[in-house]
Amino acid sequence: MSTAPDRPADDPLLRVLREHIEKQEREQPVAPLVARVLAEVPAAPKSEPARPSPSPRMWRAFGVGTGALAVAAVLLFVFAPAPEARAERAVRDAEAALKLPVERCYLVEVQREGAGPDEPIAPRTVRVWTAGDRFRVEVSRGPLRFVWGRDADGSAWFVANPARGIRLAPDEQGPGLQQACDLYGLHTETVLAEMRAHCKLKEDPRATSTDPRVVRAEPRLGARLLGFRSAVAELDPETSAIRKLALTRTALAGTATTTFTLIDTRPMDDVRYKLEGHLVEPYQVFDRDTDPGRRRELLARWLGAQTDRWLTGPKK
Amino acid sequence: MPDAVADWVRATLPRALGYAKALLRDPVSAEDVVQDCYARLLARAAHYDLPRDGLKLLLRSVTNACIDLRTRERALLSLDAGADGASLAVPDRGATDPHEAAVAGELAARIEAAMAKLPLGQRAAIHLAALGYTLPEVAATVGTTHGNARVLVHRARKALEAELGPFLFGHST
Repeated sequence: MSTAPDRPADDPLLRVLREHIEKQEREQPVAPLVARVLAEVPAAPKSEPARPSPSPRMWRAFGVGTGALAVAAVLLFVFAPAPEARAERAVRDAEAALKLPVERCYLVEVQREGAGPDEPIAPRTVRVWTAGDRFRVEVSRGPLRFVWGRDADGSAWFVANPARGIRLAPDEQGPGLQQACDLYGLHTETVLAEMRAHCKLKEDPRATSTDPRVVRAEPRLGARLLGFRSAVAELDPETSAIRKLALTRTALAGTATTTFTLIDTRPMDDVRYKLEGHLVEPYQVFDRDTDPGRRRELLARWLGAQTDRWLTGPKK
Repeated sequence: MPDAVADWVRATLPRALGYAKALLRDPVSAEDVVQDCYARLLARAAHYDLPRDGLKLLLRSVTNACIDLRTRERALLSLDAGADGASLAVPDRGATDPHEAAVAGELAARIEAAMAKLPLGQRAAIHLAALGYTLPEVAATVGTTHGNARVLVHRARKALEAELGPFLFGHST
């Protein structure tokens, strides 16, 4: 028996279990115990305590940071002024379409090339609803449901069950959450305008006028686009609304493409962009003024121990 | 102690500790058990080929120590008492989005909760099987026959699939 036995057969359940076990093995702090074990051995020469397996964490954190930076860079720079008038016009039309008082639902898919063992096998469905600066993300996997979003005043909120919700004011949102908001808010109105300054835009020729308009954005030479590979916007031929937006960025072990595909457009429902719109009486809302300690605890349980990514401010 | 032994301890301890935690569901007791097992094993390190046989001996020792500990505590404590899956959620440091983190954490919690429901023998067997150990290795580590090891793994897998199927595959079995 070695420390790295053969991998189990292609049993998806055992594979998930193995990934779970190995992740726990990597993330558990072992340095103190290693030191105690080594200290107990008689006549043992002094050994330096092992570091608590920092490399996987560091690399993973680096990957998260790189990916997030890449996404942020994409969102800031994808749609820039371009020499191609037709492409620029298409982008302007898309901006105008965003001003309509409707909400749009996009199906989100993330494809990673060269993903590591953290890539889950389980199917999930992620939908993003956007209306101006407001958005909500609904994710489901089997019976699991999780909703989060941002309301009109910029507050982010989270609901893991309809009895409890968390609200984070704009000045409390950590870097990870801000980046996620940038991505899922689609910020299209602002972003489309800003991107024109930093990218070359090119519209694919269309066979007929009823075909969707496809605009490709690539960073101009010299543009500081960390990890940015490409962006493709597919626009409705009649309304110029964004039907599909694919953002490809550099990830830790390859590339990751996040694709937003429009699946529904409907009159706006204000309530669904508010935290309370996803809670059922009686419910509790935890915010800056209501039990912030409990809020941090819930956030850690729902989103993991790295709450600083989501929430700034004092620990207690 | 030669550096090779210290290196072996560093290389094997995460696996041994993770295994003990899985069996005991109590990180403090797991650390105590693992420390004791290393102490016993290293006291006789000269008699063993640690790189070749050490992990096998260690995991067998951890299994026995965990069973002993739980047997002693059984009068006071159910094996599953205090198993709080939610509090054991593992953060997914690779996740970039809140919902990805939430899903990963929720899945980890479900796995922990499902594992906690298994009898200790099944938990040990499926843990080792998931890590790729063969049935003879599982049998030797858990201290049972090849046939019984197969039964333990099969039952554990069936129970886990019933618990986790909806979360992993979108259906229950």
